[in-house]
Amino acid sequence: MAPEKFIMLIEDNPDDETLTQRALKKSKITNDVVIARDGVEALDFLFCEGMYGTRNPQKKPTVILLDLKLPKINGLEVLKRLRKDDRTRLFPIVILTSSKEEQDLINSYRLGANSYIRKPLDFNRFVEAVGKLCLYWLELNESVPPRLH
Amino acid sequence: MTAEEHFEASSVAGTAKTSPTTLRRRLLLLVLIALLPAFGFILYSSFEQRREAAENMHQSARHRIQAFAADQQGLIENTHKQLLSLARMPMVRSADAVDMCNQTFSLLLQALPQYTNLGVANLNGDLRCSAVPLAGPINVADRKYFREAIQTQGFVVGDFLIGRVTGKPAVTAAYPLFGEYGDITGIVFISINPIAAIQESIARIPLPEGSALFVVDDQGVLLARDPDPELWVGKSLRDAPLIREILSRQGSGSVEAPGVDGIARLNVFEPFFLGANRRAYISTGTPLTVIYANANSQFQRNLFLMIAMTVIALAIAWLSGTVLVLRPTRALIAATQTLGRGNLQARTQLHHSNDEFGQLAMSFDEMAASLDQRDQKLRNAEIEIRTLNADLEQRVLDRTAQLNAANKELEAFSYSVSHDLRTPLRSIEGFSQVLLDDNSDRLDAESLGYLQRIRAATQRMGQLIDDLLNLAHITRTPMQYEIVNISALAEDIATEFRALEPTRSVQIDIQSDLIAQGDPTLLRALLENLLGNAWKFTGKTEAAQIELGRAVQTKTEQTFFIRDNGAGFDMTYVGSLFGAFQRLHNSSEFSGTGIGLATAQRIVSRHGGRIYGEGAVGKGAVFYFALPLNGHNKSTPLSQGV
Repeated sequence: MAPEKFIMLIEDNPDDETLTQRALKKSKITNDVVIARDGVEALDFLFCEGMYGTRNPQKKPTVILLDLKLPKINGLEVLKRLRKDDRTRLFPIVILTSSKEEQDLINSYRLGANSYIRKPLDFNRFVEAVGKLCLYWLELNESVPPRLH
Repeated sequence: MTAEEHFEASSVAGTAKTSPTTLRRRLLLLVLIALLPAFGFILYSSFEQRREAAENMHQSARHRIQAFAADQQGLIENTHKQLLSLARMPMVRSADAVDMCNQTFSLLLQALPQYTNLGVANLNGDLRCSAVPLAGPINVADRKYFREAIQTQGFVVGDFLIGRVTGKPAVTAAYPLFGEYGDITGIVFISINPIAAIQESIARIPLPEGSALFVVDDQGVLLARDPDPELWVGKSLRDAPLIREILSRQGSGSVEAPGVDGIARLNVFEPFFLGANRRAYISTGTPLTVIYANANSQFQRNLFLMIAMTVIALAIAWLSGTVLVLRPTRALIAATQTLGRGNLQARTQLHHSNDEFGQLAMSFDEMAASLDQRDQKLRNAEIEIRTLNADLEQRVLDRTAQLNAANKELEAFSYSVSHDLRTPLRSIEGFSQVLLDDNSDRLDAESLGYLQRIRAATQRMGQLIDDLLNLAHITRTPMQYEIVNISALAEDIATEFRALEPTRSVQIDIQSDLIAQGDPTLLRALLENLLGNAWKFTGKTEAAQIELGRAVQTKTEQTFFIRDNGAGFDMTYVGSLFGAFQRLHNSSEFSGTGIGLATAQRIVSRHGGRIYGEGAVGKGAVFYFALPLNGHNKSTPLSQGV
C-alpha cells in the first residue's frame, strides 16, 4: 500500500499560509499539509532531527512548496542543503515566492529546484496556480519510488 | 667632466675629431700665407744682389781688358816707332854695314826684352842683319809680314809664327826700307814675343780669386793665360765651347760658359789687333761661385733667418691657436654634443667676452638655459598633470566605490521591494477576495464595491511595484550589442497587442527593414512601451492608426518615429513627459502607472541616443527616438541615469 501523499509548505508568513491553505481547499486538494515556519524547522522535519527526531523518515512529502524569504535559514540555503543530502536529494521542490528577481530564478534552478512559481497578486489567479501546481505534482507527476530514496 | 675630456670621449663620432685639427692646419696655413711676402722680398733682394754682383764683375772685367788693350796698343805703337827710327838708320839702310847692324841690333835686343829679334831683310827676302846670330842664310820672302810690307810700303804686323832665327813663337812687325830714290830696298822687322808680352801685361793685371784671363788669336790659338800659362799657351782651342763662342761673336761681349779648365765662369771678352790686320781676343772670367758668393751667402743667411722665424711663428700660432681658437671651439663642440645628448645642463664654461667666441658661447649658454628652463617648466607641468591624474584616478575610484555601494544598496532595495512590498499586498488582495467569496451574501452592495476598490488598488500597487522594478532593471542590466531588426520586433509586439485585445481594430503600419544596433531586450522594451502607449491612447479613437518608420538618417545616427492619431497631449507639459510616474492623462481615462516613457528614455539614453515627443490634445502624438549608428562606442556607462 502506497504511503499517504502529503504536501510540505515552508512559509513564514501566516497570511500566506492561510491563503495557501485556502487555495488548496478551493482547488479541492485534501492531502495533508505539513507546515514549517522557518528554514531550521523545515530541515529538522525533513532530516528527522531536533523536535522531529522521532518522526518516521519513511514519510516523505510528495512535493515541497518552498518560500525563499525565510527566518534563520533562507529558502535558497534550505534548497542547497536538501540537494546535498542523499536522503532528500531527489525530493520535488517547487519555489513559491513573491520575487521575480532574475537572480532568484537562476539561483533556484542552479541549486536544483524542480519548478519556480511567482505568487500572483490576484488571489483568484493564485488559487488557480496552486491548484494546477498541486494537481500536477500530486496526480500527474510520477515520483521516484520511496525505496529508491 | 671637463670640456676637454668630453671632447675626447665623444670624438669616436669621427667628424668631430677631424674638424679641430683642420682648424689648426688652417691657422698654420694663414701664418704661412702672412709670411709669403717676406719670402718674396728675400728672393727679390737676393736676385738684385746677384745682378749687382754680375754688373760689378762686368765693370772690373772691362777695366782689366781696357788696361790690357792699352798695354798692347802701347807695345805695337812702340814697336812701330822703333821700326820707323831703325828704318832711318844708315847702317840699317845700307847693305854694307852688316856687322855694325848686327852689333847694334844685338845690343838693342838686350835692352828690349819684349822683343825676340830685330833684323833686316833684303828685297829678295834674305836676312842681312839679325840681333840673334844667324846659323846660316835665312830667307823670309815667304813670310806674310815681308810680302805685306813690300806691298803696302808701310808698317805691317805679321802672323804669329815660330821664328826661323829664334825658333820661338813670335809676331813680327815690319817696315819697308826705302832707297835714295824712294824705291824699296828691303824691310826692317822686329819680332815680338807676344806671349811673353801679353803674359807680362796680364801678369800686371790683378785678378780676383778664382778668376782667369786669357788671350786667344782669331785662329783659336791661346796666346796667354793667367793663371797656369804653361798648361794652355800655344794650344789651338778652336773647338772649346767658350773659344768658339768668342770667335763667333767677332766683337766684344760676355758669355757664361765653362772655361778651358772646365770651371764655369762669367767671361767678358774684347777683340784687339795684334798687328795692322790681325785680330785677337782677350777674355777674363770670374767663377759664378765667386761672383755670387756674397749674394748667395746673404741669401742663405736670410733664408735661414726666415725659416727660423717661420718656425717660431708657427709654434706661436700653434700654441696661441690652441688657447685662442681650439679650446673655445672644443668647448663649444663638447657643450653642443652634451646638449644634443639631452643634457640641458650643458654650458660652454667660456668667458662671455666681446669677441666672436664670447658672443657664440653667450648665445649658446643662453639658448641652453632657455631650453633648460622650458624643459623644467614642461617637467613641472607634467608632474602637475600626473598629480592631477592621480587625484582624478583616486576620485574616479572613490566615485566608482560610491556608485558600486549605491548600486548594491539599490539592488538590495529592489530585492526587498520585490519580496517584501508585495507580500502584504497579496494578503490585502487575498483576504478581500476571501471576504467576497465567503460573505458576499452578507454584505451590501456598497461594501462589496469597497472590497472591489481595495482589490483594484492593491493590484495597481502591484503593477507600480513591478514597473518600478522594471525601470531599475533596465538601468542595471549590462547591455549586449547586436543588430536588431526593429521592423520584425514591432510586428511581433503588434501581434501580441492584437491577441490581447482582439476586439480592437487598429491600423498599424510598420516600415520594413528597419535595422538598428543595440540591446535586443531593451529595444524590445522600448518598442513595447512606445507602441503600447500608442495602442493605449488610440483606445478611444475611431479608425485608430499607428505608424512606425525612420524619419532621418545621418552619418552618425538614425531617427525613428512612432506616430498615432490617439488622444495626444498638451505640449505645455512636454517637459514632464519622460518623468517617472508622471501622467498627463487621468487614470480614469487611460490606465497606466506613468513609468512607460521614463523607461523608454532610460533605454534610449543607455544606447547613447535621444528621445523626444510632439503632440496636440486630440490629434495624436509622435515620438522620435534617435539611435547612434555605431552605438557601441557611445553607450553611456552603467551608472548613468540611476
